[in-house]
Amino acid sequence: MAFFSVEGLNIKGISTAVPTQSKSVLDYDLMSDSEKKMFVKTVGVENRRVAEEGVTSLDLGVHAANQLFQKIGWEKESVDLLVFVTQSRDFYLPSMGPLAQHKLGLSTTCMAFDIGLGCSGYVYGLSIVASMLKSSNFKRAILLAGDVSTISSCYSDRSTYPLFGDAVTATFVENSNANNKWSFELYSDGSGEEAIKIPYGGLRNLPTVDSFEEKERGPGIKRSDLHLALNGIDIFNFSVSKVPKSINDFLLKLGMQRDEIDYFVMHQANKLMNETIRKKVSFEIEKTPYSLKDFGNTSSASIPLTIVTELEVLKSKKSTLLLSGFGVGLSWANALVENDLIEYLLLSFVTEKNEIKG
Amino acid sequence: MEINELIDKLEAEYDELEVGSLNSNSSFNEIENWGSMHSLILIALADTEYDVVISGNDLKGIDTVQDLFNVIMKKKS
Amino acid sequence: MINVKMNHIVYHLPDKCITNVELAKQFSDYTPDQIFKRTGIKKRFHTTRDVIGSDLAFVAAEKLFSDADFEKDKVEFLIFVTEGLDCVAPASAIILQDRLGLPNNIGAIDVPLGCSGFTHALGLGSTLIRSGQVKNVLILFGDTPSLVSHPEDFHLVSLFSDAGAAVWLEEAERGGIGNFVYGTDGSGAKSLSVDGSLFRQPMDVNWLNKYKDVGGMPTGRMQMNGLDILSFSLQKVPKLVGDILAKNETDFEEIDFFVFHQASNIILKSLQRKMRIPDEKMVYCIADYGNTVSISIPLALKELGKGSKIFPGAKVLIAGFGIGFSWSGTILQY
Repeated sequence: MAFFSVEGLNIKGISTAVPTQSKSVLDYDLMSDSEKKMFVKTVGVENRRVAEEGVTSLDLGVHAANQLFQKIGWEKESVDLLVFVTQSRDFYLPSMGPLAQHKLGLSTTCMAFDIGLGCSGYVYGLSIVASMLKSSNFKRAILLAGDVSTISSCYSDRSTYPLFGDAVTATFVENSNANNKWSFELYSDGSGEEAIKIPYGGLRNLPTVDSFEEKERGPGIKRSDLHLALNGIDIFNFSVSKVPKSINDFLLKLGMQRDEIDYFVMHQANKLMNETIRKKVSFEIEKTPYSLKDFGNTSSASIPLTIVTELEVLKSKKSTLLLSGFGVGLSWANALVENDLIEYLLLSFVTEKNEIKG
Repeated sequence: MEINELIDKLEAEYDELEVGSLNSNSSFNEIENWGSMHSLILIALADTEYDVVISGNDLKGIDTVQDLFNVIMKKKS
Repeated sequence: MINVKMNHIVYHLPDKCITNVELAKQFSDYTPDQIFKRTGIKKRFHTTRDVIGSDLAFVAAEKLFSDADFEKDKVEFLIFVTEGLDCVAPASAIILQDRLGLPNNIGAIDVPLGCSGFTHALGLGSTLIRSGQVKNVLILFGDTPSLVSHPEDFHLVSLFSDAGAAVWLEEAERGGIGNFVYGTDGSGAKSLSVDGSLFRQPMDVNWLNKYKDVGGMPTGRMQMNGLDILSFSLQKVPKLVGDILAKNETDFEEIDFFVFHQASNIILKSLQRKMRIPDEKMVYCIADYGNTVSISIPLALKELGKGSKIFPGAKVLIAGFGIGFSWSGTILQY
């Protein structure tokens, strides 16, 4: 049902901010050498960016957007909409949208709000931005997407610690005269709630002294209830069944052939899973970029991060991209995005935190 | 499908397994360093090669290559 | 342009009603009469720890589906507005999708917002319909400020109520929801915030021990600077109202009812005086319900409808403002 298309939008630039600190799976002393080798080969992650203590999603997001402002000649007053997709908000309240509006010095007439989603969040966010730009008299929008996930993954949990990296991205989108068509389809299935979950820390299970204690959960898996719990098999089976089917349906609805699509950019979940999906939707590996090796799974930042680091070519040619985000929720979403050349693709590194002052 | 076909595919999938090292009675858990990552590879193989979804629960009942073969055959029929 | 209307509103309150008599027992410095004089509030509704925002929203949603002719399998998009999410991840909206038995081929998102949450979400929801993305949107609201209020903070405990609401938006032939005005000013972040929460100042065992006597304040402690909020409201809301009127090419006198976020009695009274809104057009329901955060406007609209004051063709200006700071509004045509 939630399939739709709009025309006349264009991405002007994408900026990715990651922490300066990099950690290698090869230095993770809870795995044997052969396990590390296996992990790098199967999961595809070797290095990840890990935020210094105190650096939050807001810091990374504001940095990413400021980098683009320095390159793109947008007046700050000309931004009508700021959407911040994240599941690692700085505070219970206020939300991230207003905090980022202020830090970036955007106009007070700018609408700013958050969308709380993970791996599917970039495609969802882009669909919301597209709707708002097409029917609210808005001209320009900034989509911030990403998470500091490493704070939620426990060092002694081998199923999550070596997998996740931190990143927040900024995508500048505007109404244009170009006849680019963007299409979207969105899905949700809360029956998979338990597959990826941080069980404590929200209102459902309030933190208790006991919830901070790290407990044995299985072989090589020890974590507290405030840490992220990942059921690899459930997520795998969900992803390789629902996602390829939704992509095949989507392309059928669009009447698109594989060779009309330049690149297939997936959420970077894990190499084995992504490769299984790729084969089931019949895309060539040359058209399917990966950033997993150096950045790991970066939640809603993974698609724009992959575009920035792997698809520099988009700076010089008009392109048609198939985007697919899937994971926590469960939630999944596909987009077909035709775009003029994306003028700026930026990668920057962040060390400093950005305290909110009274 | 013959079980030998599955054995060939398994040996090709796992680097550490030499050709001819598996038979239908081989236990996965006895393979050196067998772990959760290997299980995921099994699931991926069943999915892409046989179009069969193996759940975490199915996995608990799979010890040998023959067990895996039986589960795949049962789900395919 | 596709027209959008709000077709149904349902709200739901927790069972525990706290009268001024009861409140005076907890705060012995005040008599029930003094509490009423100070706050203009007669009663407020507080949840228990095992009933949270998404539960209140769930009940409201089920009521909406049983009251009215909406079928669950027709829902195309679900927005859940709250400050108090079930978990850090996954999203509460997706959990609600499953709990309510809604289809899988829908979009479901959480929008964490407070006092401007109703008007922002109404704007977002109608945009999704106007752009052709979907034909209808189910918007759920659920917030539990009492869970982040320190039990000794009189100014919070006496003001806020917990509540849930559900509204149904769909395409309409005419009238309905007008054009929106939005605004944001994050420089007001500290005027209403929750310390000891989420990723900037993560909760730890020391914090839980510090607040052991009052249950640990496990999701943080709300801080509110009432004066800041009052001066922000008096400065921004009249301008917001002017902008809403201009954007909808409507004169001040044409508005039949003004429904503002029920922030506090003093804020509402001051706004009414400043903008010279006649008594019969200014809607108050804070006395019986307190400040219900994003639920305050749908609750007030529902109450207004009950008294059969609303007539076909009536123009109602709605404005939400607060936490962030963040504000927005539009005109509803009945």
